[in-house]
Amino acid sequence: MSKTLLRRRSLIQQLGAAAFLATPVFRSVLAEAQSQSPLRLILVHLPGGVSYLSPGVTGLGILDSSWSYNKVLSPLKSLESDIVIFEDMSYPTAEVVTTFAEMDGHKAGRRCMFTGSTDQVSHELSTNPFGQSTSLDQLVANAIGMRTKFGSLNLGVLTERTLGESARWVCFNKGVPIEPVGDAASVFARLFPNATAPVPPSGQVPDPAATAEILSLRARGQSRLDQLKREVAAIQAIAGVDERQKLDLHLTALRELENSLPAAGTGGPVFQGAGCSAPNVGAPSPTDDLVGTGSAMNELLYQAVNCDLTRIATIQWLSSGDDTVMYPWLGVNQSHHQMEHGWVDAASTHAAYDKVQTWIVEQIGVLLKRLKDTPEGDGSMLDNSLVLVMSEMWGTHEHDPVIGLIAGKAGGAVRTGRSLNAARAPHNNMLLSVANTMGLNLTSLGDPMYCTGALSLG
Amino acid sequence: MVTRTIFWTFWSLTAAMGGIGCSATAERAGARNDPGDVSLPDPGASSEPPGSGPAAPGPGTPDIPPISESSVGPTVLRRLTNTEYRNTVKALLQLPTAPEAPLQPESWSHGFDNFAAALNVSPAIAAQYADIAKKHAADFVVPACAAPSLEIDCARSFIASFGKQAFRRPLTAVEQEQYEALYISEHSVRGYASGLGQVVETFLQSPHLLYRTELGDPNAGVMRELTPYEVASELSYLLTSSMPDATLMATADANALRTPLEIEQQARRLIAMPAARDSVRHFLEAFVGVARWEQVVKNTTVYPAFTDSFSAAMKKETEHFLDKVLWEGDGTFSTLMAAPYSVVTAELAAFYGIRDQGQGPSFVTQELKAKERAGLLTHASVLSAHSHLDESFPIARGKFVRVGLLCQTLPAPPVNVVIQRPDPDPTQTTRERFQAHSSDPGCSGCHALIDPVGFGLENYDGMGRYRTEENGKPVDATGSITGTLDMNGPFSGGVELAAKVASSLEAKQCLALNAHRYTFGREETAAEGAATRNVASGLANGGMDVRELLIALTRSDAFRLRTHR
Repeated sequence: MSKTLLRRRSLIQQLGAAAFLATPVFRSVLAEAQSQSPLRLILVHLPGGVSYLSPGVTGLGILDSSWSYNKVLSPLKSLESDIVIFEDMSYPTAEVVTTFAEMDGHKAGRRCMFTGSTDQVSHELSTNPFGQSTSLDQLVANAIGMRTKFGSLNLGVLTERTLGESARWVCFNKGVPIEPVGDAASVFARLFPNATAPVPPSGQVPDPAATAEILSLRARGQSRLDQLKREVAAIQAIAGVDERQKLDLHLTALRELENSLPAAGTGGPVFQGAGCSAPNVGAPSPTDDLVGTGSAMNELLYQAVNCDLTRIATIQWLSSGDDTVMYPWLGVNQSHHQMEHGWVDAASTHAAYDKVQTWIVEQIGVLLKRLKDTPEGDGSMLDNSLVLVMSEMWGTHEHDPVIGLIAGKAGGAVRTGRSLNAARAPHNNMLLSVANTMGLNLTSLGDPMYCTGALSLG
Repeated sequence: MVTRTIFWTFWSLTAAMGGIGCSATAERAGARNDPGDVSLPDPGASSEPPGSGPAAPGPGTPDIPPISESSVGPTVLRRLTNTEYRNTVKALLQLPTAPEAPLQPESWSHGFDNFAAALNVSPAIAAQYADIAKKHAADFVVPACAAPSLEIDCARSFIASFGKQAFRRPLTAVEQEQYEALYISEHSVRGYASGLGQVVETFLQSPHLLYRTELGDPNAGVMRELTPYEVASELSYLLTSSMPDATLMATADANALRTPLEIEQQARRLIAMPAARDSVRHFLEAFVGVARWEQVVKNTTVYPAFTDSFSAAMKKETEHFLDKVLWEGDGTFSTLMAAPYSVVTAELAAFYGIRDQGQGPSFVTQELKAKERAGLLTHASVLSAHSHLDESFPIARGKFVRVGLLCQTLPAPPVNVVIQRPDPDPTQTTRERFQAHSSDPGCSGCHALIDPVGFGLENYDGMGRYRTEENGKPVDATGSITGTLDMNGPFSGGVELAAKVASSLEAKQCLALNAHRYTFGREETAAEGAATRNVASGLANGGMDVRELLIALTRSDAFRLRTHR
């Protein structure tokens, strides 16, 4: 028997020993109905984890020691009561993909992070290399995305810089990769198409002629989109099985364009949240301005959620394996990838890693604080959100244990301010818990072999 | 969980393999049964011994294996790349320049930007297409119509002719009717021009424009022949990165793109057009890893000479060189890999250690130092692209030769190995530091295949500058290569390695496989791989003309046939 097979078997045994079942959680649907506030899911990819050296199987111990254990997470100290940290969660899917699809560790970690799926191949050359992988954001978007103008918003902060093949992909819908968008100006234009149009003062009766013109423009756009939808459907009817998923994404795109058609009675977008407004994001370069793009994307994401343009968003910071971005403002002239592989001597790499990761976590904290500072119902917007921060690997290129951090109470379904010992449970269990907290009713998520039941978040 | 710490081996790279080994006879990991997944070394995995046949010099060649459903690629939708889309809008609307509005960048897969599986119409890019369509429909000057009473006839004929160009095939009766309906409803509100504007705005974002269908006749069975119009698009996007021109459309109209000979005639016509230069150059730049140049960055504290302008000049040098060899020279792989000259500015001449000819920032063809430079492998751009931010990184270069130039497959490093780079040491050369790294027996198997190749390029630093000393010690640039079809043995320095590559059949077969992947936007089937290797074998004696290689691919069964599932 090969070493590989032995390894797979022992992995399964470990899982069996560690697995435990918990009751699926459905509280959140109720919570949403009670609070009248929409429930939101935000996935954040923090590349490279929160600790340079893997802590092994003893867990992070972050909250037990008042955050002093982990420097990288220190910017979230003020949000401690809004956070749950998953300790000692295993990441078998990434290791299976690494071993069996011979995918490099960075890519495997990314691919499995939100999908929990192992039906992918490394070479990406076949017409359907991603199997039926569907990431958490798209699973939820497929169920509730139609409630908002945009089903989901997938953003990337300089993810486009990374050389590695398809390094940007962490989100998939039935095997179709969902691209993170890195150009803040394009995101702005898509979210706030009429942001520069004057909004009529409230209470003023709209000019009937202007209203007629808007209605007519709307009809013009609608008939165009109807034709495009007919054409996509016509191709779908004759395309091969694998291509139909791709066309489903195209139909989603057309539906979102439909939602963006001008509406009568408004000169601009329909704003729903408190203080909802088109952000002033400037025009950072999507290719080399990490600070500017990061801050713009944070604000765009926040306003998209605040204005209820979408309830599902993802934001990827850089990419695992990035070899092109340095951090001169932190005094770090190495790439993320170099740090992940022990650049220079361990001590200086460790220090550089801590600086960069702490900086990224600080930026993630900016988004969390923006949500927390926005009142909603009896609490804050963060209370009605579930923000899942995940990393594909540790600082030293190891998958296991995988970092998972939830911020926000998801309308009361998540009990925050603690660490949760996953006791070697596979990370698919956590993905499942999050999906069900968002109102799905699943018994398994990702590769069922590595999903042994939901963890209780309440 | 057991964790071994080894020295730095590789990063995003698939590299060292623990326990499983890295030899021709080793059992492969996992249970995948992927015929396209070639064990190493397996350069001659064709159905016949490499070099045994004349291999496809003309139509009706007997060397291509028999066709079956499993040997033909699948029907597919290929979304246009951004370059293809921009060129198409420019040609369709007869614009002076292609639209520059932003488009979500492609995801590159296997070194190329045109892989079907990686390209789709996401909400983000659909919104961008809609914006471009809106702008250009508004700017579109509609054809005049003689009298208001004739407007519907004018619109009908515009829809038929413009629609045929946009869809790259005639509209069906149903489509014609649908677009007339779009026109009529808009015409009734805002008149003729706006009616046609609505039509144009729809065509510019139509899925029939955005996707190249390779579906054949929908009523046919599992094995299908592509329609002449699909073949026309396949040809024009491969060779000119744009929509078919009038001649190609007329050929499709005449049903004269059915046989390999008919297709070849058009391929020869297209490859002689100026647009083919951009397309072929783009393919070759991707092949040697410099197509995404904005992603090649250096730490300028280590390489202060790597300024934005010098970096741009390096990239331009390679572009000029490719054009020179392809369109003024013999166009062969061997020349690309071994040419004793390049096309340089004065600054580049100085970088390469030769006297300039007073050209300043202009690019001029000059002989380079024969002992230091030969062909693409020793271009500053190619060496920079296969190094890292701050060092030469011989492993990346060894991997580029193995995987990039020879199409060999290297397994990923073992799971649970902490991969660390060897610490810098001002008393050692890069080679000395890296030589120690693969002492772990789980790693040394593969690294024995990778490292000695990269070490042979140690005369070039991380930005490709020639060096004979590093940290006060002499550079050892002796290398060796094993596990290949026809390159085994020692060599010293980049020029000798380039000579090996230039004369290697395995390397030519690899370029051919890459051309195949670029042509079809997917992996080759086992039978296609065998046929394409044979094509390379047939062209190898003359050094393999890259233009003839592409033309041979257009003549192949793979070009015309698909399997539908």
